[in-house]
Amino acid sequence: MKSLVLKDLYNVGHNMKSTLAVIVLMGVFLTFTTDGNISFYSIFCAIMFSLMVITSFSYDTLSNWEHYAMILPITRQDVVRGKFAVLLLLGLSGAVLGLLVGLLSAAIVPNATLDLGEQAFYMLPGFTISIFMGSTSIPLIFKFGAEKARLMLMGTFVLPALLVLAVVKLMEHVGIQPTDQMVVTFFSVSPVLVLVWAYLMYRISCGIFQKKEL
Amino acid sequence: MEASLQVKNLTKQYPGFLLDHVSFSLPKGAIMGLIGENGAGKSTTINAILDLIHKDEGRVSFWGQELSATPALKEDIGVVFDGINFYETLTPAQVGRISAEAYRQWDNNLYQNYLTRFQLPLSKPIKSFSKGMKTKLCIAVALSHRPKLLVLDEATSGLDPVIRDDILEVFLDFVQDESHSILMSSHISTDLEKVADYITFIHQGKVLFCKSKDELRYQYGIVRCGAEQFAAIAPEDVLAWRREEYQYSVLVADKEAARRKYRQAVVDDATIDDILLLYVKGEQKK
Repeated sequence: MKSLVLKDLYNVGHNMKSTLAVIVLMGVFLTFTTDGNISFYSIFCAIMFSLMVITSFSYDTLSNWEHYAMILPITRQDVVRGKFAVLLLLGLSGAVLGLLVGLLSAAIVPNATLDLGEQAFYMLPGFTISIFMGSTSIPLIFKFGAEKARLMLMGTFVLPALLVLAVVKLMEHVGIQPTDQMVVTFFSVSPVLVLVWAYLMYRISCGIFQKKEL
Repeated sequence: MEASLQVKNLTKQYPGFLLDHVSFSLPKGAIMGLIGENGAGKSTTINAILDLIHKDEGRVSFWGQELSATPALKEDIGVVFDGINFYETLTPAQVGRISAEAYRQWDNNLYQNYLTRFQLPLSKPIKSFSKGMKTKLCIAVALSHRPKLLVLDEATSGLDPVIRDDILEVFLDFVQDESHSILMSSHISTDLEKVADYITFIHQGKVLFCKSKDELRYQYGIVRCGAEQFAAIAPEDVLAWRREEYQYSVLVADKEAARRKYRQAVVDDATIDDILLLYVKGEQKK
């Protein structure tokens, strides 16, 4: 599996310059438009990074990699496991990068209000959202291929937003006003929830890939 | 003779195509050429052998063991497809590191030696390589985990004769070790005539024959004759025949016997191309 992760990191690494350029530009823009308080930047970074797992599938399709992967001494399960490992690695790296840039931004801007706890906390929703989107995308791509799955992938980006909106509306409907404490609690447990979701998506992906004709 | 690869009744059904009970055996130390027209079933056979597609029926064993039950066997099988399967921004150095993580048997010194022998730059992206260089890189990777069996699916197609000759030399070196074998599908019958010990001919999803190359070269012949002489040829002597503009060409399994029996006719030696053409474009029953 290590070889699969390495291959994906080399492949997306080639594309990393443009992703980093977008991230840096966004960071600079936010730094000077928000007085150095860019806590939510972690979310942006994590999502940008996790999207690279989708790009890695496109590279695989272009080089007919899946066909070749199965002549390596690995199982089909390893191929799926490799993709999820890459996703976790990218999601985590993105969230950490977001934190570091956030800290840097607060250090650069004079009189910035740096709240280290808040800055670090934003890594949790960053990780959760990116892993949710990435892990939902993976079985779709295994099933339909990177090109055909593109439209469906839009759904994986819109779905979490709609879900949160629906939950908030529902709470308001039953007379519960979402408090900061509730949000903090939700995002504190969200990484665990999203890992359970990712495991479910992993099992589904294994089932799809097991049957796939290469 | 001990077999590296044994294929028995391999069957795979697709809409409009049936790979029909394909069977053959590749002995240790031998090179087997898999020939047939486009769409005959060569790649389907190789994909089913390598477990890349699910077979409907049949058994494939490598050194007596099934791949699906023993994935570790893949350490001993080197595979080269037509075209490179690494994304083209990668360099041979990166391909080596990826492969080293995949194979326990990976020999990095051997890989470096092949790169040097094939004059492949270590740090240039694959996209800057010619088709020949890409094929050589694939072969270097396939050989550097010290396999005992090489499976080549149209690996030499689209290459110029000089590069093909270099590559065929590598294959001949590989089978110097008598425990090594090669299964290669190719359209280029001259390549197979150079290196193959056995020829398996697949036509419309079925194995028409699996014979030693020498038997084909030294025993098969083509009777060239007119309509009258063709009418006199016994149906049991005819493997395949074709009416051409000015003559009939008839494939026979024993050219010496045909020369004795049909003295009025010309009996030529048969090349693999001749045999393939007669089977594919001709009739098999007189």
